Amino acid sequence: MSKETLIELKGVKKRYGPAGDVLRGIDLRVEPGQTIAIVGPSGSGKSTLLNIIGAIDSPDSGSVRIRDKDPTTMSEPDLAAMRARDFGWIFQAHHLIPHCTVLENALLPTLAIGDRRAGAAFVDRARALLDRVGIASLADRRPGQLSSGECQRAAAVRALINGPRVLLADEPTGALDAANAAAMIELLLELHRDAGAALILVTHAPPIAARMGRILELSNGRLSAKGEP
Amino acid sequence: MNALRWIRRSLWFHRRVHAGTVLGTCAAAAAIAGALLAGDAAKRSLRNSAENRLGNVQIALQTGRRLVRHTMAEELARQTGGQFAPVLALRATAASASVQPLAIQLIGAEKRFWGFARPGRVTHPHGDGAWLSPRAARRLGTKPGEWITLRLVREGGIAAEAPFAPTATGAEPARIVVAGIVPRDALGEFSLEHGASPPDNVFVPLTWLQEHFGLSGRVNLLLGNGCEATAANAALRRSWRIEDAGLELRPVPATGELELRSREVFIPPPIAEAVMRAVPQGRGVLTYVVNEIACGERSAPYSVVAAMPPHVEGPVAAGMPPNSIVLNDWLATDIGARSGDTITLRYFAPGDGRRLIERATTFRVAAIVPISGRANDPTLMPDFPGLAGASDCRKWDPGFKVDLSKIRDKDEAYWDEHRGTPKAFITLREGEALWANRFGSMTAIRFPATDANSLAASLARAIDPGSLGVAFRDARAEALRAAEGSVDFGGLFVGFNMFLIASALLLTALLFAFTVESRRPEAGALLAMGWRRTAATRLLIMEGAALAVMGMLPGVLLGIAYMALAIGALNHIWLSTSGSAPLGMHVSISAAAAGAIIGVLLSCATIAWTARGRLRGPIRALLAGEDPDAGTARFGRGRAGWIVVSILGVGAAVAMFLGPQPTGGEAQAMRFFGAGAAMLLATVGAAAAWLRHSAIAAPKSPANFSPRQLAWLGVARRPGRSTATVALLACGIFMVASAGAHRRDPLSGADRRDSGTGGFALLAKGPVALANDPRDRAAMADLGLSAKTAAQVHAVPGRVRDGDDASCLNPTKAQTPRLLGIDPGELRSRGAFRITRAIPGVKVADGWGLLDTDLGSDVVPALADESTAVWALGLGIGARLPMADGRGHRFEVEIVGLLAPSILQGWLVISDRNFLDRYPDASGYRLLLIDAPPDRRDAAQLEIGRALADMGWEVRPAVARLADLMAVEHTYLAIFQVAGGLGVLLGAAGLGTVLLRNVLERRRELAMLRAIGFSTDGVRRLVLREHILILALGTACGIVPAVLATWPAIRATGGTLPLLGLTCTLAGVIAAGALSVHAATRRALAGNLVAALRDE
Repeated sequence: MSKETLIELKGVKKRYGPAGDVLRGIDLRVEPGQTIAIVGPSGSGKSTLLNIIGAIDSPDSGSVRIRDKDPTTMSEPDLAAMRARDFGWIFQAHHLIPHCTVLENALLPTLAIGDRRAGAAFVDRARALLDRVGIASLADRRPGQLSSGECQRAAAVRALINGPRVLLADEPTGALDAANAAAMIELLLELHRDAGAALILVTHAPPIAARMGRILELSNGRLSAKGEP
Repeated sequence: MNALRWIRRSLWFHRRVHAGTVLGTCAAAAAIAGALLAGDAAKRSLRNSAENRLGNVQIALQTGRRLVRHTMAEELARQTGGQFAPVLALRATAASASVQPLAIQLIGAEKRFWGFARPGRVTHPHGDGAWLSPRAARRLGTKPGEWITLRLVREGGIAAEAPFAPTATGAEPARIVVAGIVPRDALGEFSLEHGASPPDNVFVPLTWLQEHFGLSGRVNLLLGNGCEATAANAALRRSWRIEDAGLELRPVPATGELELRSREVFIPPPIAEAVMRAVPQGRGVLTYVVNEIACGERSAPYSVVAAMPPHVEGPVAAGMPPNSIVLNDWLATDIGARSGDTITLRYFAPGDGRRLIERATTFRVAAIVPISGRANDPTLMPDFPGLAGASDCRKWDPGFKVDLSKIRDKDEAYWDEHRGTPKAFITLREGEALWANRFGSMTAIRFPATDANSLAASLARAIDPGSLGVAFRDARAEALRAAEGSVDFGGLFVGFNMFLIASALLLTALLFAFTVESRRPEAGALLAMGWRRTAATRLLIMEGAALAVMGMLPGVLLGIAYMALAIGALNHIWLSTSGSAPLGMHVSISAAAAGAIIGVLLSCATIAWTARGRLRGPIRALLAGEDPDAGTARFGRGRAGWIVVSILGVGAAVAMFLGPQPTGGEAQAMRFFGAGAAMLLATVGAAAAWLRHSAIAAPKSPANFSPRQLAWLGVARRPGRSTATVALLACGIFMVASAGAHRRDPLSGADRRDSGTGGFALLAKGPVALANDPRDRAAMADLGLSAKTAAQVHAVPGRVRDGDDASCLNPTKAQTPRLLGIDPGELRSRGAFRITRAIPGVKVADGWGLLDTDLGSDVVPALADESTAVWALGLGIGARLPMADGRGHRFEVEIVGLLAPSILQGWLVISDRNFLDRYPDASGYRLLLIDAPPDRRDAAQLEIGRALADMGWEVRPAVARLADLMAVEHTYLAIFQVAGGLGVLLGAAGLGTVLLRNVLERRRELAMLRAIGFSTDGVRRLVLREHILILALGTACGIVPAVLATWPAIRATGGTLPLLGLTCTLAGVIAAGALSVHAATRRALAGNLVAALRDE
């Protein structure tokens, strides 16, 4: 595996009950700074693939290496630590904690690292990121008081707070209108550039996919570069 | 943000959802704290009551019928350094101007007695008046300044059933003014017995009582403090004098001898044996009054005959052939007898009770002696009551029927000149063969002339007071043991609440599971961003723990209310049956804290278990909010597990029922609760397995698809949730149903011989023994019954040995239960009562014959009501209870059989024969089981009540006594049922919440049904049907174990299931559940359902 390779999947297969094989041997290499869009029809396994990349699911067969480590052999604490350090997640449903303020939600991943000495620095960083995404004034509000777009921005800040190497976004614009969706993608790309993290995004929308450096299509359990057979 | 802040925020944010969980934790804390508080309050009350009764008394000596010198107290104090008080405590009756005679404890006390009051509580009753305990004052309806009339049972002297005992029961009235009321905690409730109701005490000055009733200088109770019982007994032995054994030594002028006499006329056998052993030169004398001495046609009435050993100076000479008699010349002349003639003695031989049977024995005249020397000795006649003091024969009033018309002038002249000088003499051996009885075989023992004082001292040394049953005992230790209660109230109430606690925890689990389920995506997000699962779970558990703590305080408050309800209900019953409310409402901080802590810990454990269970599964599943139980493979595994649980439950229940019968109430209750829980687990397990089977079963033919099937699929859709709801309902219904199944109607079949009344119409009991056998019609008529009633009423009399009431009316633990001596033949011939179990090797069918089982010389067979044996004494079949007989000898009572619940509860029933063998001094009957035709029942109650009123007897319908006993049992059942009702409420709340949750989760699905053509009512019916199915399943899972768990007990007591009552109770429970389902359905389906589709 190249030193430049962040994530490498080889022959990854996944099967779900009666639905049968969702992934039928996926090979994928992700390098730092890359932007990748994974597209495909509903039920094609895009989210499953993203979950395996992000170490919140494991393949039935094949290998996964994340920064040269096999997540399937790691202990739960090590795996959790890796998720906290290396990945930043943005979900279609933002999954903000409703009883926490926006700022607190943004800080949640820092609690996973557990470095309390860095608390103040993280707060400054969170405020800076909130300012960066344009919702600094909403820092003390709760998710229920925010619009969908604002919630998704807050989720983006939460994803970036630990300075991840890979940003994983599962349909980040699925719950947004067109204007908010476009703004969100712009924001993600800006954040990707600022942070230097790779960005892997699952989407249905071709215009959004078109903004990424690589477009991979998942179909019939197999991954191919868009336009390739 | 730290964890505390997180939890605080989350609690506030989710406050509505959490309210349900708090309700569950609150109910758990309430059930546990309530049980512990009630148990603690009961224990503390009984201990306080024991402390009140004894004050600072530590040891006590009860002398029974023999009275000791009251100066003994000073002697013991001097020897031991302790404090001792002489007391005269007598059974008596008291009547006021407005109240009929009432059985009381009449206590003659002086200031040393009052010195035993607890510090700060000393009240010195003073003056010549009577001081009453609060209860006695209340029951007599009297107050200071008013007069009461006392009648007492004379103690000491000849036993009522001894030959020549006077007919009168010794009830002598005395009027005395009420001086004041002694507070209950200042020895007002002094008693050495351990009963539910405080005694009705009337305190009078000791000297007044002694002088008024001819008992000067004597007492029958010594109380002590500052000295152990063993030291006191050693001192007693040193101070013991013959007077203390009721004996006196006096010179015999006619012979120069010394004679030992007993106040009881007949010298008790243990004393006679001890004396003869110590002074072998002693010569026993047995003097008797015969009805007639006849020689041919001529006879002399009512003559004194002395039986004595041969003496060189006569009148009985050594070597007299058998059946020889020596006559004095007055008698020989009177009946024309000469040496060698055959004469006939007619006399009353002692029969059962006071019954005297006239017998005749012939003798050959061996000699005729002049009335001189040893034959001229009027002191040979003991102080027969009614004879000894009579100035002339026509004033005789002995304890047997005398035909005064037979007394001739010359008999009168003989009496005037010679008093009781015997007219005839036989050998002691022959006299004993004719007249020895259980009270003794000698009326005097004569000793050669010697120093009276040294003889008295050596006799006192020879007579061990212990052999007369006179010994100090540790009254305080006994009282404190009794105060531990006949049942472990704490354990019992925890048992009662076990299923309520389970319900509360199930509800907590169910509602907290809803919280966790709704927050699975939140947890998934935390895990996705790198949180460890344990950390995320811990946070949720801590939040749940905070909910448990929140439920704690209201839980404890509700627990106090539960305690008040339980204690109040029990007191209400005891108040109505025994006139006292023995339990107090003590709120113990430690019990409340223990209840709160246990409640919180159990809730926390439940919450932790729930949180761990609901937060399992892959992160993606958490993020998607998927049910962790989703997936047919998992359902399949769960089904197998539940089948195993169900089989294990059945196995455990069967093992418990087929295993050895536990002894003791708590053990049996635990067996019931354990078997019930096991069967509950079995039915709920079966239901869970069925639900899971339904969830994975292959679809049925589409042609058979129906709304009912659709509803069933809805029930099986979330089998875990449905199972929890079924279990929740089943717990409550189990409690309600099993309590209902245990209820019995005392009136049902009460006339039957095998019922709890034994078929008897009335039960009479009193403090003063009836000397005459009530089986004798004449004796009944003598009581004052009308001829008609006397002819139609038949009584089975019972002898009573005082002790502790071992019935459920007494919450204290009986230390020495009362014994009831009864003729088993009387009950056997009637087929009265029902014996449910007998010792191995003996048939239950032997019935009352069990009381004649030969168990060896030191073991007496007894029958006991199940409640007496199991609950009050904690004994099972074959168990033995150590007792002391009337002479202080230890023997054992073995329970050879159990009686179905009956009016005999509270006593250990032994045969009359065994009773008299063990307590030969006991005389008369203090309990009557009375048969009366239904149309004479009221008249008999009235007449017998009136006849025995002066003796303080109480005559009640037998069924009323049975109802009293059952009322206590029913109160316990009511408490259990109330807990069950609360369980059902929790179940209904759980069902309603589950319904709301189910509908909320499925709003889009239900909206879809509307969209495809279901009507609003159709959707409602579907939801209703689903949840009614859960209700029905829960009801079945509760009823089946209830009936199965109670059936063995019902069957053993010959009862039947109260189907009507049970059906009504369950109908009410199901109706309440159905109403809850209906209300929840309406609430859940309110609003525009189809709008939910648009949310999609």
